[in-house]
Amino acid sequence: MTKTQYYTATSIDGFIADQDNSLDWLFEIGGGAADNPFAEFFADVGAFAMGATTYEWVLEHDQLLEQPLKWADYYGETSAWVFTHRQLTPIPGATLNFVQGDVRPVHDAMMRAAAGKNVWLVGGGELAGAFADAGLLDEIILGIAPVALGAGAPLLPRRIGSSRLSLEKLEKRGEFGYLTYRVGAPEA
Amino acid sequence: MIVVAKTQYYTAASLDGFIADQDNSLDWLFEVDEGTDNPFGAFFAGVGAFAMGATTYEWVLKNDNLLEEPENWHEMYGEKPCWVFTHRELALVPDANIFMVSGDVRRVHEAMVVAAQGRNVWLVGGGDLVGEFADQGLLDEIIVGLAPVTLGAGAPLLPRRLPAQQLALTGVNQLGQFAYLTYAVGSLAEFGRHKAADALAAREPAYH
Repeated sequence: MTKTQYYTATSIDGFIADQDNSLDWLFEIGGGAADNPFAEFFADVGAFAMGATTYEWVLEHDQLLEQPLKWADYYGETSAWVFTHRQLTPIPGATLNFVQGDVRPVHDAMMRAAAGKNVWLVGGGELAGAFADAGLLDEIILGIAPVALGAGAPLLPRRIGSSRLSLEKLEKRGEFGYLTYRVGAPEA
Repeated sequence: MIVVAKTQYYTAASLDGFIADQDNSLDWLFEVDEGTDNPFGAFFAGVGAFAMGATTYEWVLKNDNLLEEPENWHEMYGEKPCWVFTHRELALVPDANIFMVSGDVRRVHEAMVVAAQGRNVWLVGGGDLVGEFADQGLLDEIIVGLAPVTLGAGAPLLPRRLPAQQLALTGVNQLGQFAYLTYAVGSLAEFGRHKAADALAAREPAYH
């Protein structure tokens, strides 16, 4: 059963990037790759989507225009959708779809491309919120870093009550607390 | 081993880091299934003194109808002394062991530690008061019970920047729909993550 999942790291106080749009606070955290469940998670992903700010961050942080092959190292042939109102630079050789507007038709296309695997929403919070608003978010997986930021890019700028969210799993992996929530449909 | 009293921020929060919503309400919290085993009782048994900010105090006053039913305070907190940080004149709960204070948290913390007599000091909230203790290196532990709720806006959990060098995750525990995360803060985190985890694990657990 295909799930649409918002999988992200966050600070304790609910920010996915700091005020300077940096993730340095995240990368300085110790812990071996063995503790990181991302590879296992991504193995079941068949399509993924991100917002323009996230895309630009990845582009710059990983110097993908200079080293476009790194994209394939990370994401293989998995198709990505980028929601943007701006003209963004594509990464040579990457399977990218630049889209805007209603998330529903895009989600349909992603489901088809995923061919039974899961759909990953990388972020930011506003994009994940748009999927949640449309009832298209099934699961939230948070890796909570041992950091407080005080300000930054919000994890999920929406009000979603406990009638829609249920804690499925909690585990400690190294310095991170991993929380998995099942997300129900919006109230009519 | 020598058990040293800790100063602890124990609170519930939304997944996105708010301790109250924009209307200063906790209704979103009280709807959550807490299971059969709320750890607060065991936690509070280890507390010898506690402190809160004026907004939190006023919320408790109103929510628990304390001016009309001051016995509610005693049922919740017994005779344990409470410090309320305020710049305003606040109504006192009749016969409750409450001290109204303002200014530097260091001086107040010293008084609290003395009053706690070897037990822990609990910071109830809000986030900014706890931040002032953290700024002074007086916060040892954060225990946050994350509710399965996002609020999008509200009163911040901890409006400070605390890097990973100052925080170490020492335990996770699911109780009902709450995810409890416990962090060692500051020097406790700095003196060695594993040691901090061992030291905390060897203590009387805050919950089971």
